[in-house]
Amino acid sequence: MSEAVKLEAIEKSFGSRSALLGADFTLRWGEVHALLGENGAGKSTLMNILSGFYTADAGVLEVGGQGARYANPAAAADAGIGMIHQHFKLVGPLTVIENLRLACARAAGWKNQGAALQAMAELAAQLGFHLNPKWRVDEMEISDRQKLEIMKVLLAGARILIMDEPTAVLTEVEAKAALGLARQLAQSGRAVVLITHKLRDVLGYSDRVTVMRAGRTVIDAADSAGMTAQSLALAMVGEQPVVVAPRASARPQREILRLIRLSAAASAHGVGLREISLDVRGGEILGIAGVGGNGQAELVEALIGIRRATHGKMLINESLAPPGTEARREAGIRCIPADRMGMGLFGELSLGLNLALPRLLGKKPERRWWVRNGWMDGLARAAITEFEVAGAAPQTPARLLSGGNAQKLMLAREFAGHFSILIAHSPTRGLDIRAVHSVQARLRAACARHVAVLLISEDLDEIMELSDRVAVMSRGRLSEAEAIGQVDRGRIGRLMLEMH
Amino acid sequence: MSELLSAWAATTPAFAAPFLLATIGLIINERAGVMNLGVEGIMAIAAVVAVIINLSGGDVALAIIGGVGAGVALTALFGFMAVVLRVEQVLAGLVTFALGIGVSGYLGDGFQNQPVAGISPLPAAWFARLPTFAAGILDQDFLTWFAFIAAVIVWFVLTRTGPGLRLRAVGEDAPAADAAGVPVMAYRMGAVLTGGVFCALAGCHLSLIGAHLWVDGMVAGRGWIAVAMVTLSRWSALRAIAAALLFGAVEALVPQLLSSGMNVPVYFIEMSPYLATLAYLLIAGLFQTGADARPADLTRPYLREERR
Ligand SMILES: Nc1ncnc2c1ncn2[C@@H]1O[C@H](COP(=O)(O)OP(=O)(O)OP(=O)(O)O)[C@@H](O)[C@H]1O
Ligand SMILES: [Mg+2]
Repeated sequence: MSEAVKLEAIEKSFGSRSALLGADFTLRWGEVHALLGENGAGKSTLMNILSGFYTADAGVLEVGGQGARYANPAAAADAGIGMIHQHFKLVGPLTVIENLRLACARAAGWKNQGAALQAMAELAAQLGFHLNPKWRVDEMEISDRQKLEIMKVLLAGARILIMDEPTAVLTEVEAKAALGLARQLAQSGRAVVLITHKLRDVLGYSDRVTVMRAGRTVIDAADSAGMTAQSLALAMVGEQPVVVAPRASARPQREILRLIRLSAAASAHGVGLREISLDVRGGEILGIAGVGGNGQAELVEALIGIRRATHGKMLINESLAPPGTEARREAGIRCIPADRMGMGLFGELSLGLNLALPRLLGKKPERRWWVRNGWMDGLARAAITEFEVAGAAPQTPARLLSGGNAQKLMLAREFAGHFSILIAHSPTRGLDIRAVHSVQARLRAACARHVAVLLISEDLDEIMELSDRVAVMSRGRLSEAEAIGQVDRGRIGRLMLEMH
Repeated sequence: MSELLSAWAATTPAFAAPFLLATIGLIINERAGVMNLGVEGIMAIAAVVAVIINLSGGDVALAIIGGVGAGVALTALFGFMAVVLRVEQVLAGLVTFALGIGVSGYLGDGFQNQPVAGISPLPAAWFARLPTFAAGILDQDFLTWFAFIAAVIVWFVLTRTGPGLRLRAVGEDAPAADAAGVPVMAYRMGAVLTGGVFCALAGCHLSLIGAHLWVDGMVAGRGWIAVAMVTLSRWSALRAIAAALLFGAVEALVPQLLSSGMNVPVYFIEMSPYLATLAYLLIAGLFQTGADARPADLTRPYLREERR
């Protein structure tokens, strides 16, 4: 096996913030190479340099044994490098075929729409994908968008494929298929880079693994066969990762949150709620498992008061929940939404402002007229130390935080003040193990403070590990909650399907 | 009554054409993600330069070339600010607007209210065999004809061709377009300049055909109306034809009413285009159209390594 890519001592900084401080990476033809590291370690940045999106400040880049330096993504694509970005690079309002023509017409030499359609049909048949060329991309499921991204890089003639966290947004079955495809592509002689936070994927699907920490390579292309989950975690974090405290024994408390046959309309591409009944007691975590897009988003919106219930009742401490988000917050509800930057934080605003905003709402705002910067900076500094938000100052805009640190900021904001109900929707999606552990520890801590925690997640491992009771959501319905000791994965899987 | 109607119909296309030219120019801009609020100033400078050349003995072709050249030069300044320097687009547009109005007033100072030959309609003989009503509508000058034909061509290029696809991609999602290998800056700059040509032609149309003279302030807010018309036509050059005809008809109505001896308050005349805008916006708002057609990256500058 010969070398496809060789990166040596790559350095890169964005303004005053350095992302890479001498990273190395080698890739062989015919292998799946896992790239591992905490949030902000520089994985995406390194691969963006390889794919011509960023230019390196220093270092050596060799592709196919020759020195290379790409001025733009098109140049890298011409050299056979294709990247499936963490945040997909598809043009939303355009259709499937338009996106393919946009990215591949030049490389594939298509003269007209007919040629593009034919090439797409051939590849789709080969891969077993079913995509309608006329679909609008922004109306497609995430997994279908990913399939389109994969077809896009292959049709553009990529021999070196970079997949940046391809499984983060997929369900278990879809993730297996995507990883299987990565293997299949490697077997056909291509080289595949697989960025992931899931150690199981590394051990199960990769040939070699490179681990990065804080902009440097700490394990350079080791055989995956010789690694264990512990050794990888240790290399990634640099110390033995903290283990989340085991579940405390259940202390029955009174019911704080109750839904009685609650129904609500569907969002644009979602599923409506159909007579959801549940109750969450103080001091327990109720897990809601299920494949994404089965009404989870609608449930969260209904709970926090964005989506109106068409039928049924919602009770907080046995009294009817007030309408409106502000009133619900005052009634003690806090929420960690799945879409951190969309529904949670204000990307353009500073940490301080992000933290201050909820405190300025309600009947008794902490500041009524005069909001001083000093006060906000103080809030931010407290959050940075207490919640270990790394790489940020009080004035940093929230969008510059990495995934894990943004989530910590979100937690810091929602944990402020007194509250009795916490709704967490996919709270660890896309986070590295250390961040996952710290988020999970926070949920446990809330639980210990007698908060009623509702954990909605597609990650079954997480549900099984954290919840006291579990219910399954499917097609807008919710199954009866059962104690965690009385269910197994098989039963939950059946419930996901049965209720259809 | 029927005479009034046919005279109204016959004058409508020439009133509609400047709106249409400016609107398709702006559609090209905005589909690539750039909002050019300087259009009023660009129209003014093109209008005055065309008149000056025509008055100083240059023929119509030269007048149009000069007018377009001046308009494009001002547009290039806007493009440099908005696309290359990535100045806030609204601000860059307003600067361009103010500059265009100021410079055109200065240049045109000695040329005000002097009638020019301008552009006349195509020979009536060409349309002699058609019924009078149709002949009246079709017998326009070549620039008016060009406006309507260009609208169809622009629509076709934007929606049906490869360059159009790339241009739309740049306006919808610049990073994705960049990843797909589209040179974002070049496309945006190209769109701004091409759009500038159309806006400048709109200015030439106003002075050489509409008024046959230059007077300060003669663009009279038509550029701003064109900005609104882009939204009204939901970024489609075909719908822009309908919108332009509507506004053209409103503008053409007033002289007809006056010549028929009706007593129309001057304020109403001045107000009519704005009333039409208001009515149209109200309708568009009531039926919730347009919002979905807005290019997602409109007014959002792009630099590859910058976090969005
Ligand atoms: N365009 C940019 N502008 C400013 N800072 C950036 C930019 N891209 C990355 N960074 C910073 O560089 C560092 C490395 O980021 P990078 O996205 O490469 O991390 P990562 O390993 O991919 O993390 P994750 O697992 O969260 O995707 C982070 O501190 C990040 O905030
Ligand atoms: Mg990343």
